[in-house]
Amino acid sequence: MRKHLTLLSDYFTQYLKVRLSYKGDLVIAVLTSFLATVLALAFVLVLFSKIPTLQGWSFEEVLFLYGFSLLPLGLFNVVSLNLYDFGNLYIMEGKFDRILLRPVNSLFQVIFEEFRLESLQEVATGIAIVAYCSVKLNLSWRVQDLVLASSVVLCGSLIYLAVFLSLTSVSFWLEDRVGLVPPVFNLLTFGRYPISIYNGFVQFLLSWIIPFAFASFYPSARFLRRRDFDLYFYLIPVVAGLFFTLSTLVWRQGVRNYQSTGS
Amino acid sequence: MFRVSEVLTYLEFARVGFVNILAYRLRYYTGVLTYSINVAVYYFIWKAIYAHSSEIEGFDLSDMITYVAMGWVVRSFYFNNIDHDLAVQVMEGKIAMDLIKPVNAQLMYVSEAMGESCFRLFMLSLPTLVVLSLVFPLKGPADWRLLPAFFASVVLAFFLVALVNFLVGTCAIRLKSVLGLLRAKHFLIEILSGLLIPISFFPGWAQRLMDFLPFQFIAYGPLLIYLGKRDAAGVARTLALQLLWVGILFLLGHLWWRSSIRKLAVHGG
Amino acid sequence: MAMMVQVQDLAKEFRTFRRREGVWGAFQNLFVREYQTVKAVDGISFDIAPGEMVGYIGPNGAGKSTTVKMLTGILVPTRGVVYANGFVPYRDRLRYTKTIGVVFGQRTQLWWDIAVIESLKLLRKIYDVSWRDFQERLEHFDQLLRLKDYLNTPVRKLSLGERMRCDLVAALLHRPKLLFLDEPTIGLDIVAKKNIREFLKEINRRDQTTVLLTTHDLSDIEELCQRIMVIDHGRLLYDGRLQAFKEQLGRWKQVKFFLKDRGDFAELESLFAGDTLQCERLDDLTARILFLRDQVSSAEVIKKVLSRLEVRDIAIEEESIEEIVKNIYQKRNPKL
Repeated sequence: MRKHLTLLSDYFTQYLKVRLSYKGDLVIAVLTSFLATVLALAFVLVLFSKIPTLQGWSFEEVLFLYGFSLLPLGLFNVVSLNLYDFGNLYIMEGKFDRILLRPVNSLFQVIFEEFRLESLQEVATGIAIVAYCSVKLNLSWRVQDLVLASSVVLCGSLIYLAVFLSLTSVSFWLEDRVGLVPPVFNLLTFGRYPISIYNGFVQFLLSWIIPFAFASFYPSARFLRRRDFDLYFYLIPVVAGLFFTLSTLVWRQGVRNYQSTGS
Repeated sequence: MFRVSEVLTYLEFARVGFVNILAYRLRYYTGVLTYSINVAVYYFIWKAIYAHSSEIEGFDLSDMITYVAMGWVVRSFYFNNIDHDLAVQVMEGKIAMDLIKPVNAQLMYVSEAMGESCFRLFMLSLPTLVVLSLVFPLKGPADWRLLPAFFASVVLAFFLVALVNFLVGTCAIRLKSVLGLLRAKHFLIEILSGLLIPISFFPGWAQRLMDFLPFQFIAYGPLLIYLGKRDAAGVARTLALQLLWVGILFLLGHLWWRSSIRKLAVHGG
Repeated sequence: MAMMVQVQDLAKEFRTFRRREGVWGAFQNLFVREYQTVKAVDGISFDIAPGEMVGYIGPNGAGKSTTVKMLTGILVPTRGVVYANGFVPYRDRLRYTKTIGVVFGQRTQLWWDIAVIESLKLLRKIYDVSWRDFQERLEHFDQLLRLKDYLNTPVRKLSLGERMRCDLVAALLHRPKLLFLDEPTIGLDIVAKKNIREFLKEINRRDQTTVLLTTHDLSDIEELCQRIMVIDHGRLLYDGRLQAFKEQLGRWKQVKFFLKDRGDFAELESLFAGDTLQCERLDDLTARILFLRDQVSSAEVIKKVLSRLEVRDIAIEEESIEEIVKNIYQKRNPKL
């Protein structure tokens, strides 16, 4: 464990050194990343210029949902870069050989070999949006709320990690550069709106099959004082733990099936 | 003007694009699903919104569902990855290979994308259309006589997207990590093309600003023709402006590419 | 003495699909795939003793890489037994990889964008090497390979030879008992090759490091190894001493003639008609005569040719390792 922590900090320091040697580039990356975050919000902004509420949810509340969803997603995005490109870089081009030759957990290496620092911008933007909406909605945050929020945000990141890790593992069996990530990636948008606007099937899907609602909607609902979803709120750590365990099992099975055809 | 042999060269690129895309098998199995999911998200949102009002900005619920669904069907046709492909070529240092080919890079990339889009039409757009019209209550074209104009407009939309992507992809020659820019462009086009929400929903100042940009002709333009919300003069105006923008973007892309590769030659690849 | 590597009836099968060609073929691939099972390694057995340096050769696609990947724990075998340094490689991966070093000549194991020394420092932590050992070993490697000049350069800016030296150092930092080298001299110039071979000899002598070396370059093997193993079509064709291999099997020799006129080939062919020699045309103006070393001498062949023809040039060549392998293979399958 301690070895892994020092390794993590070493990997990160190395990444920072490379990244900071191109300062102008980093600035542009942060700016464009921020622009993308804001543009993804544009739909909600334009929409609410025409309507007062979305099925009883005010503009500030929907904005809060979006802002809060950025927190676990941003954290996950910092480490997810290699998962998106896994089929391409590691399987098709055989980079995974190198991973397996080192006496360190393979998943640890894949996740922490590369970072996407600019995604921290999403976390910052998310906090700003949540703060703005909290003021507008008169939501008070006590210390224990902040602790609770931080832990569910971490659970949320773990849920994202679990879902995309399972999908990434599919690359071990199917030789494909793109894989199954895109359709599920699109499901992320679902999690940004009040779950009650969807029909039963979608609600079930987002809760129990691809549990994005546990990463963004259920935690936000609690902090928005919408008590109907409290039961789900307490299940967040259970769902995160369960799905993450499952995904590591899939990964391990995938590693055993690795064919190392690239080179 | 072009000689026949030159046109054949670019047709060959189109064929390569067509075959290449077949290598990405899963993308087509999952593609229909991906597009349907996108439509579903907005279907539910609009349904929730129209629970309280029957008409917003001249769109009723069935207009809006058709608008969203047809928007994604059309997108499945015009979409391409020129920007990303170009960026990868630059990052992997393979761009030099493009430079030594005795062809116009812009035409080459657009031709490849054209082959891809022909493929997408059959493998993605039509299946998606079938699935969507089974799942959601879609309206047929408002006026069958306008269908050719709609198709022409969609084809022009393809050229707009391809040329914009070429412009943005070329930035990779000057920037080290261009992926953030590509992502921003992706969202920019999604919102400014009117794919997610009709342009008439935007505040007045934004609409006036967007009149000076080509993006609304990517989705909003063709979709209004389909929904019959443009009269004959409006249709002609849309097509003419699309053509004009294709010309402008082609020229801009040409100049931008030329000045960028000069930079490449100076600094080395 | 316990063996360093023990392999018994080891096999690896891959399921691949046949890609059809052309537009229509690509279209068919989309829906229907014809799968076939390829036996990359088809039941091989061998042992390697501690301190041995073994050359592992065979044509492309013969199963060399697949064997090495199973020995290093990258691939899980379809069947058979592997023990290396007391571990089952794929099962005890984390503990096992600490005791081995691997160099793939075609692909660096180092981080592309960061300075070599930073890569090495990272590897120091990954392999739990103490700071003192690290310094000491780096010093020693520097004496042998003269690293200091480019320790602060990012890997992507190194020449192939420099990169290979760094890769070797990276693979040996934790003093592995077992070293796998896959084409370590590919693409290198003669000086660099010599330098690396000397280095490997020194490491083997000093640390008793066991080495398995795959290569296309016979001179690597001649310099370094006493024992070779030959694989083709997934099966071991030969496992024994290098000298014996060459004496027994390298019995062919060839003389190349660079002709003056295209028409001369027919003449040449008629000259040796009915003989045990083989006369082959390589291109328009090049022909070669293949013959058994113990039956005819090159002098006789040349004399015979020059008595009838004028040629531009002559080259005498020993049989290459690939050709020896090809000959063994043909002997196993007389039909080919």
